[in-house]
Amino acid sequence: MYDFSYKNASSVDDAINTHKSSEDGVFLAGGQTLLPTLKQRLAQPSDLIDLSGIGSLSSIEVGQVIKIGAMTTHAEVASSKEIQNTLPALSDLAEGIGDPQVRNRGTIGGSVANNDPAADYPAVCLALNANITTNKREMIADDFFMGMFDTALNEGELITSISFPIPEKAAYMKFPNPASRYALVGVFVAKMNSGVRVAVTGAGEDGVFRASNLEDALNQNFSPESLNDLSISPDGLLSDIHAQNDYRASLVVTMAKRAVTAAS
Amino acid sequence: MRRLIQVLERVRNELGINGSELKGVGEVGAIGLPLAVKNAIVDKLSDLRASDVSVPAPPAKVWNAIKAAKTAG
Repeated sequence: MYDFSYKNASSVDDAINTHKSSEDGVFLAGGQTLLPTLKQRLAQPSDLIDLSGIGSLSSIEVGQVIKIGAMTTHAEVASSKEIQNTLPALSDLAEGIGDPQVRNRGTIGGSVANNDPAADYPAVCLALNANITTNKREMIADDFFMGMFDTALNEGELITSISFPIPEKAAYMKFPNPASRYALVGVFVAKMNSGVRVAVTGAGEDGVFRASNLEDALNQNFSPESLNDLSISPDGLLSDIHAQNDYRASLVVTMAKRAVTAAS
Repeated sequence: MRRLIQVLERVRNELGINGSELKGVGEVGAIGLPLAVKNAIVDKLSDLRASDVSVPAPPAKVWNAIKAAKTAG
């Protein structure tokens, strides 16, 4: 770990101003990706601006939409009775992230801002076209995820909350890497008023993406059988020591079928 | 394997469970277990006439063995 100075932000404005005045500061949310990166000397920020003291960023409000503060941990989302009652696919997804340490430290805002290609939250955000609110503006998920570890966030811009519309039916199924619990492939299927959306994480070289041919079939008939003859092209999918691209392509359809079954 | 299971059962039934509910089985030769898992995989794939699957056998390796067997017809 290289030297850095630690700043404890007291409010969103304080965090933004501290970032502005720092040479090369980064926001620290749950730190479950950032801290291992620092430990391995893969990053050298001048300042770590800790957001954990900003109480207003940790909240869950369930009404017409589900609004979750950026610093809400995965464990809080997983154990929220209100979310379990209105959108169990979301609490189940949070329950399946990483291990107890990751779930108790890691946050929804940190996960979404990092946009790891194997993270779970980008899938639910894209499938429901969640509204991502920052200190400056609101964006829909369609415009937010730009590629592997890349988002529409500008330098020094901070996610404050994420709002999920409540679909008619939804489920998330993932095939986890047994060691890390990251998704080898994760598929979130949502049946919205406007149609079916299928978001795939863990598989794409450019991070989370929508499987439009699966969506078309499910719009015709929302049943697992309607995916029987469909496949996903392995082009543009990840190949690594855990799974090559054609295996991931096969898993996408299998996970989508399981998700549709679970949602029906 | 049968011998291994017999010994494990005996350890459990005759010697009881200690406070930590753990029993050492190092003397039994735990190396039989991975072989049993491997044979179970090969047995499951026998209808496809899949080739031998070596351990460790993560999901991708088993999937590839199935794919290769199906391609070979």
